[in-house]
This record gives sequence, structure tokens and C-alpha cells, in this order.
Amino acid sequence: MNFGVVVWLLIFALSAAIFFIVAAVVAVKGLGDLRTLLRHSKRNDGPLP
Amino acid sequence: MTFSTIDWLILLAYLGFTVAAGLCAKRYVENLSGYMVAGRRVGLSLGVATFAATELGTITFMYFSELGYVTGFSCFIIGILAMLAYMFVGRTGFIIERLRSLEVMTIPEYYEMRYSRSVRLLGGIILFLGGVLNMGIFLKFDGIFLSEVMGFGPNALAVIMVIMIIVVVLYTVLGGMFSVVVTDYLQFVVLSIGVLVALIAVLVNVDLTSIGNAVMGQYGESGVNPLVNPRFGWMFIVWILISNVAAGALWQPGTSKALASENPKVAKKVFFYTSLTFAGRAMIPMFIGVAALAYLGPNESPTAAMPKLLRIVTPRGFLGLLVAGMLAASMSTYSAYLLAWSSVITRDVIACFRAKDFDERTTIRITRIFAILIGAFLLIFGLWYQIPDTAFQYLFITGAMYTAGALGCVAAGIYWRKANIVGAYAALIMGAIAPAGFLLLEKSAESLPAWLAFITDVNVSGLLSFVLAGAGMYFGSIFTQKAFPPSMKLVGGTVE
Repeated sequence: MNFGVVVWLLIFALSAAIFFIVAAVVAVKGLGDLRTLLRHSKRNDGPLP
Repeated sequence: MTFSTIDWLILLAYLGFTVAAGLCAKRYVENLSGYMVAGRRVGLSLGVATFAATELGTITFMYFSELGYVTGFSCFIIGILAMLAYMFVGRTGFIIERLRSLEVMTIPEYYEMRYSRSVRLLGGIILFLGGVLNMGIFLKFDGIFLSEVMGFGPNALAVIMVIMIIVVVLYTVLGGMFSVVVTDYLQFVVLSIGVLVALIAVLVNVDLTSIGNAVMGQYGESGVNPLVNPRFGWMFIVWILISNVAAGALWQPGTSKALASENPKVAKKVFFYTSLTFAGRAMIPMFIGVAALAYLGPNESPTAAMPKLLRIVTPRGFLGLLVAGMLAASMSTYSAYLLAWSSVITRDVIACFRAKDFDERTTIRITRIFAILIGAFLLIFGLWYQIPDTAFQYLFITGAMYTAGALGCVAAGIYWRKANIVGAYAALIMGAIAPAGFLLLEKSAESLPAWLAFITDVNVSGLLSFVLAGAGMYFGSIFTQKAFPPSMKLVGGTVE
């Protein structure tokens, strides 16, 4: 395989791995943030602004 | 593979769940700040999820895979440039830290604080036009994706797209940023799974050697070297790097996620950690586009090649998950963009014609009306307009209409004491000239005089927009310092 192709495939593999790792971490920790956001936000059960 | 019953069940269950979650979030809208920036209480991980989801729609998949199909691996450089640019913004806090400190809700609000209400009006108009034109092709590309992946005719899918835009408009209109953040989180999770499914299906069915051979056979050296690829080159690389810095700091749908963060420090971290996903965000769809070249050959429509490949290689059941993931990606992007542009037209254009701002209730009401109108525009424009060049370049040139002038105005406003109102006007107007010239004249390129032909080169127009905006700010300010002394009240980002 051409050297340039190999280099780009390696960069692609690294970039894809980082994408999915960040996605996994954010998916887990983001749930906690979401709970905090909604817990500390005042519910508006009356007519909307 | 064709879309089976299990695929439909997965898709409908997901859509129902998302809409229910988005509508539930409307309970948390207590005031204008809640509606526009989720009360500025978004934490780091949630901020990264919502930002990444905003920046990754089906349209992103479509334009990046189109580029992969027509340029091979050399387009991968775009992912690296985007990652570096957003990383720079995240590490340094370039612009976003100050904007978050000032607690603005839209970028043009800063124009009024630093320059004048009329600069805010002009900036708001340019931002709105550039933003809505930019968003105008989203629906068309999503339609192409769905028509290929689900195996339906374009007419049926136009109906599906109408349903989708109605759903997004509905929960964006009712819930504002709370709905956007809540649904973005859900959509980020689903779209990540969808992207993983797509990538695995492609890797299982298309081997890397044939991908490499297809690129070298079709494009030769220009398939791996962006500097010799006729679509790219140095001018393109410089333009895209500057453009990504500007878009990172100043593109309302993305920047609003920084403005919704808990504090300026969290805003910087949101940008930094999101930047880590940006190389993968670009390269994964580009890779699938390159794989489509290897699997389907070079005679397919570049736009339709990626979804066609996914329909062939994705197993039954997973196809529903993939489409749900892509719809998730689209809906999160649409909702953030709808909220961003309707907020801008309401607060920065219509309100600027009045001496006093609207009250909160009226602002939210007008914002909702414009979200509906923009949704209707998307349907009409998407079906009618034929884009010049690749979708990627169309999106960046329409974005440059606003980001070039905005970069001049806001960066100079924050970091240069001599920036004044004349410089701000000059930056906004001159930054919009080259992209507008490209969009207007590109279709009649052959009848243009030779000296004006450069304007129809998208890379030249894009880079020129930033050069002209910078020159407009510098010379406009320098030559008018006495007549229009710069306001010092926001220099350094603090009210003095």
C-alpha cells in the first residue's frame, strides 16, 4: 500500500478511536449533568412564558 | 438490505421517545435566559454532548462523505484543521471566554455593547442571512440520505422530512434551549451508536487494501496529498483553518453552547474536549465516502454514494438503528440552528428597530414564530436551490458571509483598543462582499470579465472575505480615530 494511504489510515484510526472514547465518557458523565441541570431548574407547571 | 419491520419499530420508538423528552423539557423554561441559554447551568459533559451533537448532523455526514468520494484521503486534512482550530479556541478561551463573562445570549449583542445598536442591527441581519442560507441545504441532503438508505422514492421521503421538521420545530418552539440540551444529549448517545454501527458494517465489508488501491487508482498523488489536490492547496488550508477558528468562536449555534455553560472556565473546557471529537467527526464519514468509491466504483453520484453503500452493507435491524442515529444527528442540529437563528432575528434585528427591547414574553413569542417560519423556508429552499461546487464549500462560503466580519468586529473589539464603529461597519460589509459575490456570480462564471473571474473560485472568495474584513476593521478604525473615538467601556471584556 502507498505510504500516504497508510499514514492517513493510521490518523483515521486514531481520530475515530478518540471520537468514540470521548463519546462514551460524555454519554456516561453527561447523564449526571443532565440530572443536575433539571434538578436545579425550577419547574414551570403554569402557563409557559 | 431494505428497511424491515424491526428497522421501522426501532425508528418509530426512538422518534416517539425523543419528542416526548423534548416536550417534557418545556416545563423547565422559567424565563428568557432559560429559553435561550438553559439558564446558563449546563455542565461540562452535557455541554460537550450537546455541542458535539449540534456539530454532527446527517448533513455533516453527507458533505464529508461526498468529499471523501471525490478527493480520496486528502480531504482528511479538514478534520485535523477543525480539531486544531477548536482546540485553540478551547485552550485560549479566544473570544468565547469574554462573551460568556459578559453574559450575552447572541453574538450581535456584543456589537451593541462595544459599538452601537445600529452595528448590532447590521451584524444581526448578516448573521441571520448567512445562517439561514447555510442551513437551507440541510433538508435536501437529509432527503437524499434517507431516500438512498431506506430505499424509498424521493416523494415519500419528502413527506418524512416534512414530518421531521414539524417534530423539531414543535419541541424547539415550546422548550427552547432546555429541549435542545435534553434532546441533544439523547441524540448524541444514539448518533454515536449509529456511527459505530455504520463504521463497523463498512469495515467488515470493504477491506483497507482495496480502499487504498481505489484512491491511488482514481486520484493518484492528489488522493493523499491535499497540497497537490486541485480542490484544495495552501489557499484552501489557510481559509479553512481561519474559518474554523472564527466559526468555533462565533457561529451562533455552537457558541450558544459556550454561552449556556455554567461559567467561562467550563465554556473553555467544553470547547477543548469537543475539539477532540472533531477529527473523527470529519474523518469517519470521509472514510465511508472513500470506501464507497472502492466498493461501488467511481461512477456513482458523489452525494448518494455513502448512503447507498450503507444500505447495502448494514444488517437488518441495525439499519433502523443507523437511520435513528442519523435522524438524531439531524434533529439535534436542526433544533440548535432553529433556536439560534430565530433568537438572532428576534433580538438582534426586529428589536433593534425599537428604542427599547421587547419584554421577555414577547421575545419568546416572536422567537417561536420565526422558528416556524425558518422551518417552512428550509422545505422550500432545500427543494429549489442547486448548490454550486461541493456542499462542504457551499456551507463554508455561506458561513464566511458572517464569520469573516464577525471575527473582525468581535476579536478587534475585545483585543484591540482602537477598534471603533466605522471599523465595525467596514468589517461586516467587506467580510460579506466576497462570499455574496461568489453566490451571486458563480452561476454566470463564463460571462464574467477575466479580471472578475477570481470571485467564482470558492477558495479565493472564502479567504478573501477574511482578508477584506480584517482590512476593513483596521483601516476603518485607524483613519477615523478622531471623528469616531473608540468606546472604552468593554475593552478587556469588563465594563469600566
